[in-house]
Amino acid sequence: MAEDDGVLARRVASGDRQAYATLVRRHLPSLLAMARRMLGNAAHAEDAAQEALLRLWTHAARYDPAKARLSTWLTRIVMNLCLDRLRRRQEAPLPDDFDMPVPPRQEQALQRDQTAARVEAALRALPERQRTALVLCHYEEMSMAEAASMMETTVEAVESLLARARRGLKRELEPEWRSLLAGDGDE
Amino acid sequence: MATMDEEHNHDAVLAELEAVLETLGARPERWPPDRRARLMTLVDSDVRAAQAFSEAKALDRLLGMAPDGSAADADLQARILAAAGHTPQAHRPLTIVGGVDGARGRSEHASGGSRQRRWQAAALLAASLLLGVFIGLSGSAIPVLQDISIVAVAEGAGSWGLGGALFAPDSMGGLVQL
Repeated sequence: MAEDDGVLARRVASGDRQAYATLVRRHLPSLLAMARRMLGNAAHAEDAAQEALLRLWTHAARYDPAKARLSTWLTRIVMNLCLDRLRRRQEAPLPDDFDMPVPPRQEQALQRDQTAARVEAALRALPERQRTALVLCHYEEMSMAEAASMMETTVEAVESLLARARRGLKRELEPEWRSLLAGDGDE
Repeated sequence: MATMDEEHNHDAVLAELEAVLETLGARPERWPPDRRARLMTLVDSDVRAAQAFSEAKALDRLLGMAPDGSAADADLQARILAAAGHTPQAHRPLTIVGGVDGARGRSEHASGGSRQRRWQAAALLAASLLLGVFIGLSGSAIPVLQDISIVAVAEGAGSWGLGGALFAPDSMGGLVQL
């Protein structure tokens, strides 16, 4: 049976590298995914996920399983690292594959990639707090109360941020979702 | 024929559905449990509700297509483990006072800045202990306190004096009360 995160974190706090490796393997994918959605850039997302997991190593002694799940603790660190980076980022980042040659692929796969890039760009264009609320509630599947706690705001504010985020995305991605509705999208 | 009350109720539930779809999307399991059945009944029986549901579902599918980078490769894992291999652990439990603000922590780990601050804190603690002993022995605290406050102001300018407490930027990105 997989060992509990809290137990592993205690072992990490006492310098157990094996336990640390297990936690890195366990949490890296979701942290990376969250950072990618927040930042819209693969390299920056890797930096954020790496930094958060390094803090697990350096500050495991601070983690208190009675107060939060380890995944929540790590999510909060990643969220704040991403917000910090976004605040420091003055100019809109270029897409990862900007100006890079696209290798020849099947038409359908290419179309899927283009749609994914459009969705990522639309997410990146959202105001910071709207994007944060959407990432926490939609992708991380937190309740609005959990997201409100993490964002240090009210449930009503999260509700409003979510509604505005989805309205903005729906407007921005209208050709894409209409295409899906018409049944000629992906799949 | 539908009565005015029924129409009003229908419109109210439709508006409720649209608000839920707009906030939480088209996954009923994410909707408030006490409203789920009523809203799904409307989706199944009303054209406008079904259309709104389909649009929200299409948007959910699109959001699911955003790249997530979750195919974390072994290389990144190896880099993280290697970085931890030469990064010392902080064993002292601290209280986080402020929020986390980011990547500043990494450079502090690398530079050993937090270690330097620990020494500063330890030195100040030792000084305060000596002061206490001195005051206890001399019995005349006020002139000594005046002297010490002058020294503290001079020493603390631009660094750690903050509202009577001692603070330092934390490697988690917040302020840490020492």
